[in-house]
Amino acid sequence: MNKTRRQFLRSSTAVIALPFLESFGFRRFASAASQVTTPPKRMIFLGTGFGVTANAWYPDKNDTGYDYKLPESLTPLARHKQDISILQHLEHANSRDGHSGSTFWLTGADRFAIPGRNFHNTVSVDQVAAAQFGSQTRYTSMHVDGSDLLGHGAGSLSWNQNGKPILGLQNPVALYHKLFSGDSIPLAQRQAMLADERSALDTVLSDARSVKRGLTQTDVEKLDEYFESIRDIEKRIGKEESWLNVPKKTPTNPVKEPSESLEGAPAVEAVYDLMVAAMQVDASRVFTYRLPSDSFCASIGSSYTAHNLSHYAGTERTHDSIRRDQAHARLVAHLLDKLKATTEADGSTLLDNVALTFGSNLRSKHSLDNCPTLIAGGGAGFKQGRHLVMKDEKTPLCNLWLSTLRGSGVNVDSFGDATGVIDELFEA
Amino acid sequence: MKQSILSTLAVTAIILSCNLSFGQSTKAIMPKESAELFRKYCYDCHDSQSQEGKLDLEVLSFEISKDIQTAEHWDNILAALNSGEMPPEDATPISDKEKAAFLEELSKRMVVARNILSDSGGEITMRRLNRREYQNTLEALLGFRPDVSTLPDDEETGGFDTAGGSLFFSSDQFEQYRETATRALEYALNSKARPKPRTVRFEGETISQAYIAKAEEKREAFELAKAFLAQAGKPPQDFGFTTPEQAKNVYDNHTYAMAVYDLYFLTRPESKTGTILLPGRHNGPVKRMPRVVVESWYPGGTYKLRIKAASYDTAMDHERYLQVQFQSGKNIFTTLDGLAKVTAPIEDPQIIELQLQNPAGVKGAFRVKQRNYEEPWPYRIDIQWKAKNGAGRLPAVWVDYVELEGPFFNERLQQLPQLLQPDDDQSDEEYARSIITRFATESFRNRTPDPDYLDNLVRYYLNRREAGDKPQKAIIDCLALVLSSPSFLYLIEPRGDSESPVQLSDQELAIRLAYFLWSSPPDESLMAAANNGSLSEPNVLKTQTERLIQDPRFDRFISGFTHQWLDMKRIDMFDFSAFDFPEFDESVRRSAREEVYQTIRHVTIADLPIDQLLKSDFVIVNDVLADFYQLPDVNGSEFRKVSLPPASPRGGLLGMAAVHIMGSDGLRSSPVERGVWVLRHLLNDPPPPAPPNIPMLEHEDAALSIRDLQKRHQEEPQCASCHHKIDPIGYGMENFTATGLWREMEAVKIPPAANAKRSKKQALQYKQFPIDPSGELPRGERFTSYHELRENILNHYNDAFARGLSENLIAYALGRPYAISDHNFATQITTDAAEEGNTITAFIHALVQSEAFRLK
Repeated sequence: MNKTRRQFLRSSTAVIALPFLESFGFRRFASAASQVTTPPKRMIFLGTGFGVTANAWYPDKNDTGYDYKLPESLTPLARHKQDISILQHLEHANSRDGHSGSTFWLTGADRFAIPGRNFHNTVSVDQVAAAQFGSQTRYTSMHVDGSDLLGHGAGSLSWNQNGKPILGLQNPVALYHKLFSGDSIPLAQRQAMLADERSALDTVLSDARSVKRGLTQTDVEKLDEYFESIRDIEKRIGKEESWLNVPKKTPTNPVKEPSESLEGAPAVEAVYDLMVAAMQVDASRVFTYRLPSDSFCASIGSSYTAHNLSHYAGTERTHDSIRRDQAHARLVAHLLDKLKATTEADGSTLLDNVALTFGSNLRSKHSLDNCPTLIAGGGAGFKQGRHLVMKDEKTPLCNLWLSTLRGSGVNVDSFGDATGVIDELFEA
Repeated sequence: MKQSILSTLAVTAIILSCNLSFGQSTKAIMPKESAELFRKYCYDCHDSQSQEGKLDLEVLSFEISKDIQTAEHWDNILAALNSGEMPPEDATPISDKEKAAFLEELSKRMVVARNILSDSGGEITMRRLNRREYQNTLEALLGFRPDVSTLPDDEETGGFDTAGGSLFFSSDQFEQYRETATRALEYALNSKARPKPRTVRFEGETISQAYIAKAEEKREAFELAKAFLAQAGKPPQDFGFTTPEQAKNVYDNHTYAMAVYDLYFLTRPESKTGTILLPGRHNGPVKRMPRVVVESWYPGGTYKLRIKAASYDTAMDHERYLQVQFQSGKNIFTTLDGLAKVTAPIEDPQIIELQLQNPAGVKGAFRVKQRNYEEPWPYRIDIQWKAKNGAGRLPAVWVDYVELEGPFFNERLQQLPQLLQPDDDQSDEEYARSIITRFATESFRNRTPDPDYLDNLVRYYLNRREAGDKPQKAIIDCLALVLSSPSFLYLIEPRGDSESPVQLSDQELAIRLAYFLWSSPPDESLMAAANNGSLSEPNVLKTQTERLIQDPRFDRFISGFTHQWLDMKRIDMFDFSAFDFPEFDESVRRSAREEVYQTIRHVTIADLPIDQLLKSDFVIVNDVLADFYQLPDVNGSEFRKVSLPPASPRGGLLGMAAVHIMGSDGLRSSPVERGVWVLRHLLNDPPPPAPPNIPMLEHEDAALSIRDLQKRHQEEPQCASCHHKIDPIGYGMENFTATGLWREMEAVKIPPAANAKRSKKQALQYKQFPIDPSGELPRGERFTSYHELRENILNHYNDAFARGLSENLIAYALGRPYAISDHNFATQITTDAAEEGNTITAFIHALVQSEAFRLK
């Protein structure tokens, strides 16, 4: 990294012909690729906000193991039954907010951990993974937020090392452009833009330093959030600089630019396709997606809003609620198809190397126990194809996150309120 | 754990001052004997080993006043024993004698502890402008309301959106601020002259004549279809049809189509001078019903919309409305201003004038149509009418013309671009420095920016110029950085070298006051009072406070504070189906929300005691809500005072549709939601938060009365402990439907059999239950009707309501959660306000004049 950066900086000050820069970048990329003997590990987290239709989504608790009956809402996943697992009895002991399916889903934090504050969060599991996986790729991690976010709660799925939310891209078009556009601006201009960014940051920092004088300790701590934020941006700029002369790759089967007007289920499908494309060009290895809610319901022809559906009762709303769950299952099945269809250098598929989780902190309605959890992929070394019901009804969801991290080669001592890994996941 | 060290420091300082001022005991310590009671009854679950509920009584300090956290633990113990929550039913009960003795000791010492801790005033964390304040502040600087929808909604983090400790900052946010500011500045500093206002008139008959021409085409098509069907041999293409089916279709539908054109256009003489309007689409041959769409010609500004209109005798009251929406692409913004009742007859139309905003930077059009009532199922009424008259519903409103005049701009916005003009003999650097210095000083609320910072900005400007940017673009980028700097984004109140709280400077006081009462920066007059050092004088402060309350910007306090104080986000949570609630629509919902704000505004401005929020003989409504409440003779969209007939259930928060809507789930009234709301907001006796993971009562599959449904709350002990206090209050409000209409019987939908074919046309079956509104309030006052419930709350809980208001005002104004150490402070405010007639202004004065409000 350092060497690359030095080389880059030297080259950017000297008058060097562009072709050389490009080939320099290409070589670097090629050499990085050849070093990789085993395909990289990846993670995908898909958050549904409001939970699921409990009766039709969960398999019977007594019907466990490999030979369980796939429940009504998950039937579209039948062809992938061997590659997915349903976990029951996972929850966050600290979660209390019945309208936040995403805010603490990947963190397990206690919102009221700090007296006198109404809100607190900690780093999310994807960011712990990204800290290790992200150094190899152009984007440390990638995040998408559906257009309407009812049922997800405040902030984001992803929370940085300081527990601050990381914003997602708003639509598939933005994701497309981030992955495949932007190279048309001349290199020199892009370099100038980044240098410009740096001096902009230096400017606001000089104001921040000047106001720090005479503040109380709590105020200084508050202002530190500002300093941390600027440092984060500086880091990102540093990374962008080191990737400037590496052209963005296009996958062998290029993805078309999605239409601006996609909403609901078609938008989800486009995002899934782009995630696979992103993995094919190794643009990032960690992905999170807050799935759309209201627009999703509308796109499958339901006249109810997501919140209304979450309070499903009686025939009408239950019917639509199940249809929504099935539509999600169909889309996940589509994503799994694509992940299976892409072969890595060693002959394995993308799916073999990804740890995918689909779920929410909310089970159904306002319940926060037995969080819906569907996992897929071989990235974390989990033995898939099963319905697992944890013996302890209150098994920390963070145990799954810890298992996902360690299984994927991220060696952390602990995560959130995890009490350990879930051993069954690794045993056939 | 820095937190606890801090609190300890603060407490040390306070104990000293307590000694001096009160001469009270410096510590509140529970007697050693209490440990005996813990050991006997509590350690089973709450010793160091078990720590159930995260409470470890073995390590809990017996010095209640040690710090705020310790006191909160003891307060919880007090509450748990008082409510009978502890010890739990399956544990050994504490003997009455021991319990009484312990509770007496504890309550006494809690008072002492509160006194000791109260002087801290709570640490106020420096706070970032929340989204509302940011928008208002930008508006004050730039003279227009910028779009801030990409910024995070700060209400989502819980509590008031003014709580500094909870208002966080992230790198994404920095970039959002910068982008939002850049867009706003680009709009405000646009060097192109803004257009002068002009007027465009759109005649209604252009619409009706187009339909009439269309009818003529249809008639011709029908003749061709008839000719085609009467022969054989020639292909349909010869008659202008692609398929034989198409011709058949035209032929078959002709009667229906003509009936529709006749009803709406052909038989109406008024089609020559105007047009009827109808909402939504028609289910029949005319897909798009008439509406008037007038494009605005500049993206932003205020427009006057004049509509000459009339309504038909046959129209129902709630149909006689014009609804105006601003439409841009597929996003439709609707404003309440865009709703106007039309009462004039066709022979003598009236002119309606509305003021509307075109959001800055957005291209779009104003769309005028008839108020849309049954939004989820727009076809239902047409289907019913087709059976009656062969065409569709009768039109309700008619429009002669629509006239749009504008755009008008705020004076400040008009002048801004001129400020960017360089003086003749200025160098580029001098030019940039003068503009940046002026803008930064004003943006930082009159604080002088740091010289290094200004140098950096000027350097940034010069670099941009060197890179080829035009002066305007370079300056906008600099100013956007100013609006993304901490001095702008945070309300900074440095304490200097002092370890303990010190007085705010007059300028800081002005800023705190303005953000409290306006959610905006101080204006010139307030700043002038600060600059000449008089603002901290109690009389001047009082006069200024008075002035701020009378200013229109005080509305920002009313909506911002009230929305959060009364938990009003729930009002938007559910859809109400037009099948079940034909009287309800989005206009009613918006008006219902506004009623709460407008009533609080009226009570404040008219200096009425806050009791009037519990019960009054008037309501503050607009025409929409008056129709909904069936109050006669209210015309016009402005909210005004309307006297109520005696024995009206309206008047006061309990009678407001907004409260009933929040206390429903979109299908039925919810005595639980209503009871909790009353306890929390009127009786200041909030029940513990709903325990998660308890299954909700299901209700759609059985036709049960709400009382029968809720019986389970009383049967299960873990439910009953809270619900015995909650549900009975809700029963007292059962005479209001889910949308807040008065009812004598509860109509419960009979669910269709599980396998019945679902059909939207199917008639709904209801079962009627008599309503039993009797119940009991927490201190034992019984009531047998809604009116008695309201009377009891007014007579026995007005003190609790007042205290609740004080506590919430403290939290909102000081930007930190209300805490146990604020107990005496809240008492002081409540007492002071009571002496001054219990007006909202009196509460505000008491708070603003308090020591806590003036310390940093």
